[in-house]
Amino acid sequence: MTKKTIAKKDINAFVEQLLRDYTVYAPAREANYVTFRQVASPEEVVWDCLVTRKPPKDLFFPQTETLFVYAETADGLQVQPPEGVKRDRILWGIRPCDLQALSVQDSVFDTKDASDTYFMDKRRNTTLVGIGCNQPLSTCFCTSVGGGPFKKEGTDLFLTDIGDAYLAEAFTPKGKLLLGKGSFKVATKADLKAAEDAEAAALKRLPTPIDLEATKQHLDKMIDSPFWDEVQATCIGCGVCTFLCPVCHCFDIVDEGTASCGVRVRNWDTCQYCIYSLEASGHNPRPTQRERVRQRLMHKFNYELANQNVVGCVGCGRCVQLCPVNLDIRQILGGIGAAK
Amino acid sequence: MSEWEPKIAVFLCQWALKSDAAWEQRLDLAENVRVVQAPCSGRINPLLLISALQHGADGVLVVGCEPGHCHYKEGNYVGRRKFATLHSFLQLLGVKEERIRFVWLSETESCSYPEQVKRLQRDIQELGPFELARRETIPCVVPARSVAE
Amino acid sequence: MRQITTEIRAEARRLLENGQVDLVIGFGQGTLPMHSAPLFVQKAVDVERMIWDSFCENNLARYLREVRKQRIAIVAKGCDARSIVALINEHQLERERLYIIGVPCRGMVDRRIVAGCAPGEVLSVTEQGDEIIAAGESFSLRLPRAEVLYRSCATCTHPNPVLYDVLLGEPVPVWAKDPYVYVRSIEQKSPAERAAYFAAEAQRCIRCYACRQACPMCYCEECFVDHATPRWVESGATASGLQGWQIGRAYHLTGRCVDCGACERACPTEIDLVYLNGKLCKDVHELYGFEAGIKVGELPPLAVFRPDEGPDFGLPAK
Repeated sequence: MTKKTIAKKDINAFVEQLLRDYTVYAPAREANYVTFRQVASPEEVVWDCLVTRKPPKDLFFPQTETLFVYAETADGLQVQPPEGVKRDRILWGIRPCDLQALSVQDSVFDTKDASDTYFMDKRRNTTLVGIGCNQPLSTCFCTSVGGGPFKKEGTDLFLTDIGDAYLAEAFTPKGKLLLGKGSFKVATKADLKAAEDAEAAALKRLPTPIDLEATKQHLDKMIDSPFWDEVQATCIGCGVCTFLCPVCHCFDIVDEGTASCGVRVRNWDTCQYCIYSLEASGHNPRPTQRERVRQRLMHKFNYELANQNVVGCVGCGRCVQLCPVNLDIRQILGGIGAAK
Repeated sequence: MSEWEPKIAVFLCQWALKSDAAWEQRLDLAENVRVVQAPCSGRINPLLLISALQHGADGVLVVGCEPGHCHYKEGNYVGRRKFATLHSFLQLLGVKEERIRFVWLSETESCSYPEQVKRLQRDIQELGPFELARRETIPCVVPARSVAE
Repeated sequence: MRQITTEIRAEARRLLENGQVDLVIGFGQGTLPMHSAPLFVQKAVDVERMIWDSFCENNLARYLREVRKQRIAIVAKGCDARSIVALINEHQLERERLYIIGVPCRGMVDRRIVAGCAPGEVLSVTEQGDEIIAAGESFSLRLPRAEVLYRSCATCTHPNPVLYDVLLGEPVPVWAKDPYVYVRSIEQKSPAERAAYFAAEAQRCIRCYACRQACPMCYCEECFVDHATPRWVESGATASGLQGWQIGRAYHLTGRCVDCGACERACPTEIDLVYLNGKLCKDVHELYGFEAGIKVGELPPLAVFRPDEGPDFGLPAK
């Protein structure tokens, strides 16, 4: 692992060089908030937004993705998959929570039995430049679920703000390649100490870990618990928590068109919608919001642990900030611990 | 601009054309005019008009019977409020007023139906294409003329 | 505010203790500084959790569709009460099962405006008279209440509930003159500007349907976007799919929307919905003299007509 530093005054020139060689996605302004999108200049990059409105998940798993286009032609039915990524991409400024979420998505889309080519094409052609969180928000709780503000696993290059410079740690060949494109110096002992101090300061602001195994075991016994009746009462069944969650990955496949031409697309879907589990017979195994809210918690803190050995929540806090009725997953987790 | 020809969607109340001649000619208008027949102008769901525009129509004409002469008595009155509010709303979204037209035809006026369509085509030619987004894939449709009567 | 909190708790306790209702729907302390959370209270001992403040932004009438079998008391500000009337007029509610605790409303504070004014994360907010004090780690801001209200609240002409079983506190004087002033400002732009504005707003939509789910009037068992034969608008986040969804939902609220703004507050990408729905409110008001949810028993404007009303779609005289 190579450790270098780059002065803040040199960072724009670095991004400028990256823009020449890559398509760069970074936190940038959109209307009144900040979200990940393609940027055309270093000035568009927003540096002080810890939690973007939308996670970067749609760079790998787009909200709407064409799986193929079909058309009836003189030579029969032609099926055309979309073109893959044409130009190498950089995802700039991904935070440790969203990074961890990406690895949860990897455990879904890239298994030994099946690999989702659409997801993997984007994943393989993207260099991840992560950045640590010096001042977590009051809604951040990555440490509660096994994460941390400076967890670097999965990045190609990881930046830490150490005052007037960034510490830059390259973990992979893709990351090392980037180090040749900016004014990097070798990191000094002082630089490394500053990074450690930043991490220690950040950790002081974050909550303590919850016992995920104990939570899972509680949930094993809670399928019929009256706890869910209380929790689900005010949920309005929208998709905000799911669509803004960096981990959530359910989708619905739809054919749109006629018998002679059209597309097959996949769209994000949410288990919070009534029709998510509605079967063609009319039967719905999750008929009320009670079953659906329970499902969300079960999937994230029980089923994903059991099936994929990962927890389905990374503590980014987006659902906490944006739930229209202020349903707070942290409160619910606390309640699970105490529930009968 | 002279290359582009507007597509027109017509939603035609089946009772609005009173003469046999007009009725027989109702679909035989032009290549880029598609006619959708409805039992009454009041049955026309505003989503149908939106759908037509999103599928490629640059202009929409809704033809019904004049007030007092609706075959179902009040259908056109019910339609009128829907059309008025929809039309006003779409203008807020930047759709030009002349792009969507509603026409009541009286008994003696049904022969002017082809003229109304041509007039709309001319006006849309000047207005330009529909202002808002079109569907990404427009399913292939069978041309109106090959539909059996 | 504190007085109203006390009165809400007293009324809720009374209703639950004497068995008059099975459930009280109100607001409780949220986990974020600027958002009080909807709260369902079934036991008298829990009424202490109920509060009233300038962050009670949700339209609670939204919850009435799910609890048809119970007798319910609901805390209703001006717009919530209008929604209740609108639902009664569409035969979605039984008035006899409902006990409306009316609360005259001074308008709700827009958490996005306050966050935008603050130099860092807002960690606590207090209300002092006509000011909102927002504080974070290294700052404290005093903001005049009137300048940080939600747009729909700043232009509200019905802050006092039009229907109630008990009214807590004195009716408030109406502060807005024209509820449609914002819609008019958009109408004055050129068609090209309006089309660009709509396209830019719609483009941020993520089809989460928070707007629909938060709206008391969107109670259809099958929404038009979930209908597959035909599929009215594209299902995905394509430009026409997003625009079709926005247009369709707004249009389906013609004569039904009470301009509460709950949709816009629920939207995670902050789409301007108040102007879209407000336009339809304005049109039915100006064309047909109708405002949704004001009078019990009024028929929906799209279900009625006057034979001689315009517009005249006849052919122009030659």
